[in-house]
Amino acid sequence: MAERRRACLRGIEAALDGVFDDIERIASELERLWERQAALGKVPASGDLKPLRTLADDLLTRDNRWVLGTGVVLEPGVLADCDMFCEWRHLVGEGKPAQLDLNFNRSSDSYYNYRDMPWFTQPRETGHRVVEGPYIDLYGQDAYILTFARPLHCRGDFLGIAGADVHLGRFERILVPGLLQLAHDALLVNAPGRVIASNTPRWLPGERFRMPDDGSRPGYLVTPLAGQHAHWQLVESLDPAPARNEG
Amino acid sequence: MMMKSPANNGSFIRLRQEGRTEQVIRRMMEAIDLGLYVEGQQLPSETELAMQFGVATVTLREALGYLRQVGVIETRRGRNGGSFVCATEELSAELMLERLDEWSLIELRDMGDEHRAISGMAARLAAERATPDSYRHMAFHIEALGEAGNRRERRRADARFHMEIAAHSQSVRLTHAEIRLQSQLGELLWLPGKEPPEVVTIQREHQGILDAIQQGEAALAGRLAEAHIQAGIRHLITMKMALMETRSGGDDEH
Repeated sequence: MAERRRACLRGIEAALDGVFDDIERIASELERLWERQAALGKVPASGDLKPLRTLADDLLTRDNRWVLGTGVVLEPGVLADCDMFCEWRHLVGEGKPAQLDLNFNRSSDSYYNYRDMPWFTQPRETGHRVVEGPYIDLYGQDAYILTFARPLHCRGDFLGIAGADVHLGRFERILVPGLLQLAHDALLVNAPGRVIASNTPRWLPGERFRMPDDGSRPGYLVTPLAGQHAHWQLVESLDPAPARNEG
Repeated sequence: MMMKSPANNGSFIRLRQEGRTEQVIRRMMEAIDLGLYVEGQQLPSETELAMQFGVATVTLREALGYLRQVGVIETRRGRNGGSFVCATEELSAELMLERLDEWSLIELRDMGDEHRAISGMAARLAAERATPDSYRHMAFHIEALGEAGNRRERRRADARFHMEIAAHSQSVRLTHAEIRLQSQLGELLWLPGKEPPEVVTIQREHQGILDAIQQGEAALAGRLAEAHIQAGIRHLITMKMALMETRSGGDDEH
């Protein structure tokens, strides 16, 4: 029982780490690039970020297809030639990577102000990586996604984030099997208590699992995931589940 | 004959790319799939069909050409000629499970959300708007479900009951949405699992909805219809989870 729970938790943590490893290539490339320019006493311009595109496209066109968009989003003012900027690639149409064009014109109705988005503010304020969501991405893919983000730094300055939007319907393929090995009803919930994945039709992804502020709920065993980044918790019912339908 | 779910990566503001021909193809396939046109039945003339769909004859011909090509209809020449619906094999349970495998748990939950909204509202409106002669049509499909001899007949009687309610809501949009959802989900609901839906249970739930409609109890009819759809979706999700459990062994993707 405890062995299976550990295996399930390890599996989920490995799945999250896997996405962060994917982002890491883009993040470290940007930080290296920044450091090289800083060493020359220069401030990078938007055009200097073009080499990141190949790395992003590699990630988007992998077989598993759960990364829908990836790249970097920069802190306003860090680039030499523009204020707000992102170098972000995403899948369009038949699954081809394309540049995401966002409107950073503040007087426009469609102004995309990422500075207040939690996947941007959290890494900036805490210095830690985060997983935000699941949520419906109204401005990008109209898909149900998780956003993974890691802060970017150079010589102690915050430069922005490197991130990835992950399609939860595809990513669930590696979250759910571990949960299905658990004997009781089990759900994976995020910090606000939204169900990310479950092993039971009694709790469906997207629903809310309400938990009192002290983080306990009678009848359930709550185990936080290791690593501060996701604030996800494994919630297991203490009642044995009715036998699952074997199909 | 159920259509694959469309790719999910368009933006909300992007228009649906489905052209008129594709729409006609989809509607025809749904209609045949759900038994609105039965095997061997002659389709109305091209002119009449084009009028029904509100499309040009060229568009309709294009759609019929495709349906002929994929073997859904056949065209016979001569005095008694015309287009006829071909007999199709009942899809094997294995093939249906493949379809279930293509959908994620999230998508199933989401389809359930949409289906509850559509069927729930249709039942509410039917309770307010249906006239006594319509109750007979609904009752007919509850009886037909009891008499159905195989999975396809059960599935059709089940779908037709819900389509009948939608039709009596007097909303063309709700009816189209109900047909689309029945076409996507209906057949999966009747897959033989460890606990396949009991005909009598479904009949009892249908009867409950019909009773509420007859008594003009709109809120109750809506609630019962929503609970009925939700039970079906939970059944599908249970099957999907069982499928994932059996398949997760040899399939290591990360």
